[in-house]
Amino acid sequence: MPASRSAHRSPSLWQATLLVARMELRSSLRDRQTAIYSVVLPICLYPILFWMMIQGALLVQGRHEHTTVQVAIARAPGATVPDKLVDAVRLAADAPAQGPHIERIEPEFVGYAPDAESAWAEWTARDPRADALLFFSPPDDQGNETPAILCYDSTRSASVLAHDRLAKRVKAHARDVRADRALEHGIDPSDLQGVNFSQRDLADDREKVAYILSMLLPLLLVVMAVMGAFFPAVDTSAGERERGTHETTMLLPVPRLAVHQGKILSVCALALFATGLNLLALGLSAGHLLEMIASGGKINVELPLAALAMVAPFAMLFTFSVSAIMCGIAALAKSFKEGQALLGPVQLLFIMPAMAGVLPGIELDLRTALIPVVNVVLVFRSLLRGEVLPIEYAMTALSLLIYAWLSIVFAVRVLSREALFLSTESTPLLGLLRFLRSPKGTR
Amino acid sequence: MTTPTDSPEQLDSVGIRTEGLRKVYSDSKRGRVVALDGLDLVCQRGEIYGLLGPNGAGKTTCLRMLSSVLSPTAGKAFVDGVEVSQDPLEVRRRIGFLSTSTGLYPRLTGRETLRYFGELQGMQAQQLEQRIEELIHVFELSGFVDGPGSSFSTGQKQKLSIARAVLHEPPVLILDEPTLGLDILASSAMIEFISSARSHNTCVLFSTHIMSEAERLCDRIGIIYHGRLLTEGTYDQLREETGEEYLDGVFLSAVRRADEELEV
Amino acid sequence: MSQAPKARSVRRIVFKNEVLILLRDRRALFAGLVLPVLLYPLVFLGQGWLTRFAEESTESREVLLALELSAAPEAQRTRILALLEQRVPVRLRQLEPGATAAIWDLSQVDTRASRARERALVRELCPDPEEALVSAGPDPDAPRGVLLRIFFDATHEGSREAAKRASLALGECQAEVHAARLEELLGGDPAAALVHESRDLALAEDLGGALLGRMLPLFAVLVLLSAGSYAALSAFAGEREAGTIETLLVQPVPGSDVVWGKAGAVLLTGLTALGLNLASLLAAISLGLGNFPGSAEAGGHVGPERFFYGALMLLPLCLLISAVLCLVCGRARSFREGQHYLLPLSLLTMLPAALAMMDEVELDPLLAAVPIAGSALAFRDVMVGNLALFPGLVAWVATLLWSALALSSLGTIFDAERVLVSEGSEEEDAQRRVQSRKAIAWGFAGVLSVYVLGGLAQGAHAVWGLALTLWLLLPLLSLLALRGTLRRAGEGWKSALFWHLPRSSHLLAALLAAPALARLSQAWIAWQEQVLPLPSSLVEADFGVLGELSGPAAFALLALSPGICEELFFRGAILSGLRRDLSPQKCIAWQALLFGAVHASIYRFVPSALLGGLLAALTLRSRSLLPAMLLHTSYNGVLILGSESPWFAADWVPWLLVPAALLLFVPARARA
Repeated sequence: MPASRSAHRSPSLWQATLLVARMELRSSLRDRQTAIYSVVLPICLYPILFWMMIQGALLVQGRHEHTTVQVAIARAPGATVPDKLVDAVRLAADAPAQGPHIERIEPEFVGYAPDAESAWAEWTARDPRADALLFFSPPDDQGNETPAILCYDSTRSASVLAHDRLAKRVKAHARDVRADRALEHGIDPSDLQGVNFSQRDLADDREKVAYILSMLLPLLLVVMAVMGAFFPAVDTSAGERERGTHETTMLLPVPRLAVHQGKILSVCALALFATGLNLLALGLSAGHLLEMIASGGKINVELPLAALAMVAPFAMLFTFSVSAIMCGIAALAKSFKEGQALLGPVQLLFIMPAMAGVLPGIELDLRTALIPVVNVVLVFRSLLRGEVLPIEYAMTALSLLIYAWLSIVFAVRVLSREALFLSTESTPLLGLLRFLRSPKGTR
Repeated sequence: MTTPTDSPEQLDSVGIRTEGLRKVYSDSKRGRVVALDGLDLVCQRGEIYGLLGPNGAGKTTCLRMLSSVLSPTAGKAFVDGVEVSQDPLEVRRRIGFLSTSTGLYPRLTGRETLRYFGELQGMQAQQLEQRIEELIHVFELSGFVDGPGSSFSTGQKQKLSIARAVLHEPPVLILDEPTLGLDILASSAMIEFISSARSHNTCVLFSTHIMSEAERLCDRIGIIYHGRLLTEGTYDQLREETGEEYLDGVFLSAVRRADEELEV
Repeated sequence: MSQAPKARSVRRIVFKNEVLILLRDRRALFAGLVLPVLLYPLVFLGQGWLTRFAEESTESREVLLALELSAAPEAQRTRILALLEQRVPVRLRQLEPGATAAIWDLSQVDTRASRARERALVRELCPDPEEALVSAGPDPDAPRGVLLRIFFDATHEGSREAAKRASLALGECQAEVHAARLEELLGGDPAAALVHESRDLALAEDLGGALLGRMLPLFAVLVLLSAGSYAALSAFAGEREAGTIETLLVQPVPGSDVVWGKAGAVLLTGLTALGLNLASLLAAISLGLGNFPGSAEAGGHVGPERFFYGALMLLPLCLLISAVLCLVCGRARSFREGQHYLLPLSLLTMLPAALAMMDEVELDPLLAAVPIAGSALAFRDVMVGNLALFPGLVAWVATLLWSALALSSLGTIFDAERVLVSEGSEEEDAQRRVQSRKAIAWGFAGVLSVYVLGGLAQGAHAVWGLALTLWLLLPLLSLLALRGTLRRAGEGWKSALFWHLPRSSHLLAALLAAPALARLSQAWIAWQEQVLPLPSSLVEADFGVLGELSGPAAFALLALSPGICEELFFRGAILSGLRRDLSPQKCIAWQALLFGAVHASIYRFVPSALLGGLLAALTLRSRSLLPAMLLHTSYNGVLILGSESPWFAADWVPWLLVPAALLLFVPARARA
């Protein structure tokens, strides 16, 4: 670009960019709504939401434990109900201190019925609080016992509860019966088992936390960066046109490129700021949540700080390209409202691939490192899991850089269109293509 | 010079009358603001009264109170014999109001806008259509009245707004800077319209800070400053009073005198 | 002169106009009409494809298993190998016999160090973290049995999948061996009849209804929020942005009628969008798109009468959401501002609607009265065919009442004073509001910081965290809150903090009331247990470390410290801001709310709130903070130390409130 001939020393492109960015940032943060939206809201919202979730979970748990259920035992003609079963079911309460959990047991309440289905139908028709029913059939032709049938209704939570409680008790009773018989034969009951197996998870707390983070954080980071860039992007481009201040900005005695870059920079800074605050508030409240829930086996929440530090530069690069693209698209709108309508679908364009990226089957390799959004998500994930894939990381960084540069070029091109200035109509989305085809000077 | 009076035979001819109208509100930035400080004003039917004053003098607040949108902190205001805070709906039925910030629905056509407000005024469908046609003719709206509001130029918007304000043939017109932002052609058409209102026995109260308009149009002029009426009278009276030749001079001397008084 | 239009026709005219404006918006029409028709089938297809892809990629993954089965008898070893080999694709690697002996030696103890050692040993044998290890050894519980242990790493998908397949195979083997042993040793299973099978006898209609009932409330709320907010913003904030609001306000019609007309348009928009979206969604489901179990049946099997009653249940919900949207958007001065209000609103609306997705949450009369949650749960129960009449009725009526409440405050939206004069009306009024608004804001700031920062501190160390919260956080907050109040009111800190010597009768009253109140709060908790039973986790957790403190230490930390610091903040700094412009009743109500909230537990809300209100009343009455401090300290003290002692259970304890009340009120009357 030609050198300025004025007496004053005109600032370099980068100085000018920073100047504009600083001015934009200041005016954004002075705006009460932006400040509330990006600072106060995340700080207040997450604790309140988490508080509600914890209290809700406690309430549900409390009520659930104290729900009494009603079960019945029925049999077909010719079948017998095993001895002591009724007593065993009645006595073996899950937690005796909590009082009776099976409110009423009606042995043979239904009496005789040809099969389980008709017994269940008869009982449920008679009693609206019928929760679960254990049905015994007669032995088969060879004289073998046939298994009992535990009937319930999966669409009713009390019925599911009754099923689980009853199943547990019947199983325990069966174990007791076998043990008794074994003792009668003079056999050690433990010999009946033969083979036992157990599972042991070798991951320690830090690895577990890192793993949970690697499941949640990539998507969260993308969503927060996109949402954080949303309003500032609309505000600095479409909002400025609505307020009618864009002409003043355009007349600043610095290269246009600096103005646009400054704007993108300020949007990026705000988005990063909002993302950081959101994560912080979320982390604080989530830590609180983990403490509350893990009252028994306490999880030692140790954050993988090194991995998080590695994530930061990638997040910044990504936020930069998101901000640039959003600024460019928002610039097509005439007003704040329109800008919002335009950016809504764009938001989805970022979030959808991010959601696909967290699927278990997809791994970071040289091909996926090139797919925008997906590559960021995969890099976040593998960094948090402590994987070391230097070539793939470098590739992703490179492609991120290229995407960021491309999106800035795109944004600057859109922002510097004269048509944007002149038109009173809003630009249709198809107009976007026109802008890209015929670049104009960025001065 | 007329004085405020309560006698019933004179009431008929009084369009607007205020008694000690006062408005105080507070603003988070400026704190306590006395927008209007005991205003006494009378405007007859068939008279055009111009309210002159610098920015922030209280003109808009005064007009908004007369149109019953804001309620007075103290004092009374009568429009066409109806006390504003007693029966605001009746007042609204009797005025045509045009504010500085008047906008139009961007997605409605001019005709639809007129119809909407006519319906809200309670006009009968047939009568309304007839009146709309009449106004389209009078204000020469036919070129754009069926396009959407977002496509109008400033002058077209103002024309349509005026048509909207007089749609229900109100006996009192309250216009807040009606020529603001208009070019010479549009504003002279506006001025022509206002002066024609005199012959319809309409009371017109309008605010402006364009002196030449006030000179040409107004039967009487009131100068308002810091919420108070400094002086009022016909153009000639004001000139005599101050010894200035042009309204600009009259205005400036009145304001200066008020400033001196304030300092003392 | 024209005739004034009737209220109903005004509403009709405004309604018609708003609908016309909305219909002219091509973008909104596209988003409202075309998108849902295209979107749901696409989203469902994509979702189904993605889950299938994820499942298939996990299933087709070759898992790596290292085996050391030398401790198992020959027959079982072959059988296990055969069973494991069936879980294809799998690659088995036999380790040297005895390679895992060191690991088994470790299993006697279970400490942090032994776990780390175990980990290191397993990693040595299986360097690839994706590989899981199955090792056989003696079963400590059964001398003649074999214990098979599967070592895996849950943070690696391959390892997790390997462990899953291994445990399936081993489970099969376990059952086989068990059956064989029973046959061999006992001549058959003595509990054969008890080996029950579960049979889900839910009706197809109920299953379909359950699927829809879980999903649709949140879906409906989302659609209503997005479509309704668009309409509400266009009708209210749009009016202000277009500058037509002043013109509208000078029309000879009451503002409330205009608002009602607009609210009607918002409701219609919401309902239309909901209808279209639902139709598209149901079509997508019944076509079998998406990957829901039983989704293909869901649409077809649910009878029309359930849909009818379900719609009936949703109708008040639509009304409520539309009204709330109008309220929120009506307050906004611009589209942008309105948009900012919407995010927190949507979160707060979606959360209760999401309750319907949780099967454990059941509708009861208490929950039914909660806005949105009640309707959502009642809707679900209707769809399942399981709605109890009373809670359902409560939900319906309560939602209608909530909407009526919201609608009745709609009329104030077009309050011209507020709309036109940016904010504030009468000066003195606004000045007053500033003080109490700030006090309330500080109060909530205190509640939040105690909850978050205090919670963090107490998570790190129970005793010191609590001490820090009380003696550092609360005094700091009091200072900050008080500073603003003092600056605005121009008053000394002593009088602002009620720092006067009280009458001795008031101190005595506080002392008398404490045990009585403590008894009453215990009675309340006991009664509350019937309605809101405490979960066992809370009962067991109880006080933890704090419960082990010695008597004097417990008194200092749990009674004296809260008595001083909490009073300083709530009854001192906050109340002093509140009382400047609110009536005593309102002060007490705010105090109750804040004090109930700071205890951060639903179970303690009512007693804490009542105590907070009483303490505020006491402070206002005696014009001194000391009686409140005394009451608070002795109340907590009695609950901590004295609740076991026999006199506390005596019948006369609650009656102590009577002399306490007399002491507070009689002298004042005598003076008056």
